[in-house]
Amino acid sequence: MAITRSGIDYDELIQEDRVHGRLYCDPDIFQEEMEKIWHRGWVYVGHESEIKEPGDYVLRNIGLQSVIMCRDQDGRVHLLMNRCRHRANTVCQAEKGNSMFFRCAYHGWSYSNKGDLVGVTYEDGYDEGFRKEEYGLINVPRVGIHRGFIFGSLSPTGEDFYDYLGDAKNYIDRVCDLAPDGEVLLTAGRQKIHYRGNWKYQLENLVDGYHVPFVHMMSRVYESRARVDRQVPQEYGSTGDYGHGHTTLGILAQRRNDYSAVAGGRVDQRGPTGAAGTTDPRVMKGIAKRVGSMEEAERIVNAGPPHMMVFPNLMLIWEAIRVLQPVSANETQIHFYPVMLKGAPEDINIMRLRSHEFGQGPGGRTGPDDWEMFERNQLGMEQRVNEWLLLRRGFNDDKVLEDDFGVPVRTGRVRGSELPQRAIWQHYKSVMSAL
Amino acid sequence: MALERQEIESFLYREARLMDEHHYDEWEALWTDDALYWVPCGGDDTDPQHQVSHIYDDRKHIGYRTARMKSGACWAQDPPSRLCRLISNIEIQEGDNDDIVVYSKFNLSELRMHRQNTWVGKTTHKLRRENGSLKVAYKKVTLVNMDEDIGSLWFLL
Repeated sequence: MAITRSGIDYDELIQEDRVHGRLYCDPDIFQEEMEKIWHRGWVYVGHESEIKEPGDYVLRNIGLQSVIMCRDQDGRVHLLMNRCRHRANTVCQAEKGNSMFFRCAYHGWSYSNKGDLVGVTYEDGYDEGFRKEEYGLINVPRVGIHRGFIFGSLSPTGEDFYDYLGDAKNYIDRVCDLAPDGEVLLTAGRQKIHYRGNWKYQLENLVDGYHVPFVHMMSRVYESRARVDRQVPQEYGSTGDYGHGHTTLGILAQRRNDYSAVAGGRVDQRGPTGAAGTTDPRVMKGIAKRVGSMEEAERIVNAGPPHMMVFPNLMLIWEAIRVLQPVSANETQIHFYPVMLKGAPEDINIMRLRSHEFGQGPGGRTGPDDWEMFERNQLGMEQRVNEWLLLRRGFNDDKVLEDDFGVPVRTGRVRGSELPQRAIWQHYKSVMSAL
Repeated sequence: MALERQEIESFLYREARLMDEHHYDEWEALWTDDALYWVPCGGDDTDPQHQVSHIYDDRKHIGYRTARMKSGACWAQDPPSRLCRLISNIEIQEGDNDDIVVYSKFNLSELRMHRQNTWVGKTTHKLRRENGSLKVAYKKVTLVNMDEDIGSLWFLL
């Protein structure tokens, strides 16, 4: 029985091959998502390279709540709720910076970057029952870090971090393994965009292979003819369902490269994973030096950058990551971070920046057309004539195969199989149906 | 100098009209072969080789951009935005190699999907005389809201 305290029957709204439009429009459902997915569960917050030095901080959100991601003077990462313990003012206003303290401007309470309350204005005005150590900034109760990728959960209890991450861990590893030094740097800043539509359009669209030849047809014009003409064969491996809502386009190297070819690498790029610059001999030599052999380096590079949606908000795609930031039921932000490869020659990372700018962001050739579709999607969704969305493509046409990492995964056959969308919704239902 | 100022102002106004009215070919013809079209998403001290920009097009990519705008498959501009911009606060300086550096401000209204957006910012042009006519060798457009969440940039700034 899936009727929750809110009285919403998610069993009715989410069926195996279709979902109800209310899921994208209803403010009550949005509030329940905030509580159950974004506050109770794990969400991606930021990357360690963004707060490299002690005192560094950036301002982020978990769900709709403002969180300071910072490194204390001992080098430890903290996620601190941006809310003064006196009268709830935000204590940090800047998007990023370096500070040992966060001082509330209203009455001057000061906190260390561990969160401890270290200064109270006119402290003698408080009685003996007031104890400073009880009024530190609230630390996000659970923080999980994998290879620099920092996740947080506002719930003190719940699923273990690595249980949540599951097989998505291998794909984060892949992103890092493509760097000669085995580390990525998110030091190039970010672009932020908004669209007037629900956040789940992007959640589903990242792993929607069906829209690519239509929405992104102009991307293909830029491709070399050889790549455009290559047809993606219909065989298992086109899409993957890793459970926990984590989904991917392509579970095998060759399949992923075929998809990259269709979706479009950098204009004028050569080679299956050219968009990432990782086929450059200097990069491959660097990877080989780290992993011990050129064969292993070739295996990593040929598998290429992943195309994965890590539920609910981290997208690993080509030379960048994207982060989903819901605003309301019909308003969403996406944040784009180009991924720099540590140890790669400078010109490679510059090429990745240029590749990203003409690719994904607000002036890029793919993203804006996607958001246009999301906005049209929302306008259509508000109509109440036929409220169901069909997810039937490749229905009952999947099987379990081993992926590049030797992990068994359920995968679809037909091009643009909606296996990932069905997987996302079944996971969503299980999370939203919890009491 | 008075004549030059008038010529430069006319140039900027014409460019603004070409952008407002989506005359992509004529706009593209304004650029030199070594041109750079830059819309940063950081402040004045942004290093585009280490920080992401919104747009950082060399001449070839300026061509790709206009080709996409003309393709009929640029959905973010289907239908195209209705645009109207004012150019003001024009200052002219001598640059290197006989380039003319022009600082200006713009206030652009964009109407799309029944909503009106306002884009405000400052522009730096580097203009160069080629075969008697002015060309754009460099254009940097710094939006007031460059580091906020913005919409699509598939009209011309």
